[in-house]
Amino acid sequence: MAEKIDKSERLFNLTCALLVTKRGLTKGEIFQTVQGYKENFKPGDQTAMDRLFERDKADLAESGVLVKGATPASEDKNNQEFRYRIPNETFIWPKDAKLTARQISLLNLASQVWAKASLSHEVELALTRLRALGDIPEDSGILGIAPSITTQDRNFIPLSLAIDNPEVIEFSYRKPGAAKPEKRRVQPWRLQNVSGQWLLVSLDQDKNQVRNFLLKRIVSKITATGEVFEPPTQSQINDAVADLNQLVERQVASLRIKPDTGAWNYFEMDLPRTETDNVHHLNYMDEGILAEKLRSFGTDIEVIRPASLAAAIRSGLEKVVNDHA
Amino acid sequence: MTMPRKSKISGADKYNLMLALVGFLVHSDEPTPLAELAERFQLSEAEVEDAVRIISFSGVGKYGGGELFDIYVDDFDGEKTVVLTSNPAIDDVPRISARQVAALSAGLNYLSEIPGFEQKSEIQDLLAILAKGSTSEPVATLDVIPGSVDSDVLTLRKAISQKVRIRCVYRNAKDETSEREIDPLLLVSKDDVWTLRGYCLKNQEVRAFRLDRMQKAQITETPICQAALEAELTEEIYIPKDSDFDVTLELEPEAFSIIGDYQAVQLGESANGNLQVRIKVGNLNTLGPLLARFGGSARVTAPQEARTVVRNFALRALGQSTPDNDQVAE
Repeated sequence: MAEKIDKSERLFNLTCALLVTKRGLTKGEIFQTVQGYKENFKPGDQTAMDRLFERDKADLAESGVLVKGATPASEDKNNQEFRYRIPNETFIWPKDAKLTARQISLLNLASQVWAKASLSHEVELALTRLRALGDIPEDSGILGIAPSITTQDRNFIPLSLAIDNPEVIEFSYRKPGAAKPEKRRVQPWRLQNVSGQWLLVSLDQDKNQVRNFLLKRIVSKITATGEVFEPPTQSQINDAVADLNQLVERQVASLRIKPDTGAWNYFEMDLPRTETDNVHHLNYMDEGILAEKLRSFGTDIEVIRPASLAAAIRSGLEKVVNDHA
Repeated sequence: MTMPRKSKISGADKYNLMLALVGFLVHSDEPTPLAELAERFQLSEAEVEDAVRIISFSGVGKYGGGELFDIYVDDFDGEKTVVLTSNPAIDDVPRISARQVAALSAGLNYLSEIPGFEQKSEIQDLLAILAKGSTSEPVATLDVIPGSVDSDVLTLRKAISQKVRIRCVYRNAKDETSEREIDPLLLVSKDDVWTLRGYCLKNQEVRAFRLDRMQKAQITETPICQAALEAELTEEIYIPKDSDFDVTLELEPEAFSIIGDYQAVQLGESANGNLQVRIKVGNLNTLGPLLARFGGSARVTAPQEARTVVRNFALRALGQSTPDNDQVAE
């Protein structure tokens, strides 16, 4: 067994070699010459090296280093000649970008938002590099707040990777009250958290329409189909988000709230308000999600409208009663 | 020869640090104190020194003329500095990926919605810098839009920064209200739920207070007490106790969020994808609202006592009388 070389050393030497090469390096060239590979390279046994190289590429990508691969036109279809490089223009930070201590503090806090989330490692890696660009903040952050977003959903990271690839995915989706889930095949566009709920903004390929899916109702693990799609433009995404916002504006629920209860506190009914009769109006994105929140208040609230919301609350409670008979 | 020191950070983390370190040192004409680098990157001096050592073994191979990095730690009477004199490959701090930009930008947008965080132009400037530093055209593939934020956030932020006591009316988990004096320490949000960690004068210890159970929060002129100043905040708000009840649940996928929220232990998985889990709760009555919320996608399987609590909560919420109005003893 050859001398064990630190992984960081191999990744670093690979990065440097791919940066300085003009025409790109083939895998063969990398395995035979780059420190960290060449020590373990045995001609004729490529499988282990291939696996190592794929893992290293994934580590570079997670860290945020973009490796480009291309087959030179003259050597078309010859897989052995596929070449890799890191173009300097997409590697180094634009000239003169500097960050103030205050900006570093804000970025520390913004990264803390993801501290309990599955994205935390990638964000932490980015922050290390950003710290090289700025002044050192005097305190560890903006005092007194610790905001966080959770991404506990098992599909969160697979979805975010499918968005980046970008790759068509399939999953089973169960609408509230539906007995059976339905199979969906979509182009994943964006993950959006609305009032604490993660939503997938996507193009439903069977319906050819933009559709939003709540992550909590995706009842299967997502499967990547291998089919690559043209990523949406920023304006397509903006349209989808504008539609979602309009939906929230259109949907209004009216609730009567019992004074001096938990619900009364929750909806801040003590604050000066224009509504009378202990009535509270609120906009909502999804009736099922609102029904969930309201069920936990028991009899503290009464739904005035819409009737479908009152029915959703009722049927959920009846199911709980039957389940616990 | 001595073996290389084991470092706490992983190989991929160390690699990332090495890139950042060279990118930073490229701009320093003078030797940089090791202590300053450790502070900058929030690591130990030993970790930075280890990264420097590995860079010093590295180079560009034969494609760039075989040049190596010339970097070393200079130790003069215990004053350690880092010097980079030759750098064949890395011209500046590396960019960050579109994915990293998307996550940081969404984090910044979320911050800008917090009351008292009105420096929107500051956030806009920072978003523009991040977009410029992305390896590829960043598309907003990730975003966070918070719901309405409790009006007390602003008051509490002020009190925390001025280090003064607050007074409020608080409704506890047993639905009892009382007047409280709290020395506020930290405002924590988890998704849309805001919690104040603070020293409670009544209980003489640090407690967590949900803002949606708090009313009429007012700043006083009393500085926070010594015990509050010395208090240590633990990472987790809820620490299980021996007196907690073990409760087993059957969860459909729609209720899997309970697993993370209650640090559930997984017991089994059914063929239909449902999970059987065990959680700990301090008070069985909290199960009523929790299970009612999920409306059938989560079920208590044991103990029977807990099932009765849940059933009775749902019956009362439906406006029906319960067979036995006695709740489980606290």
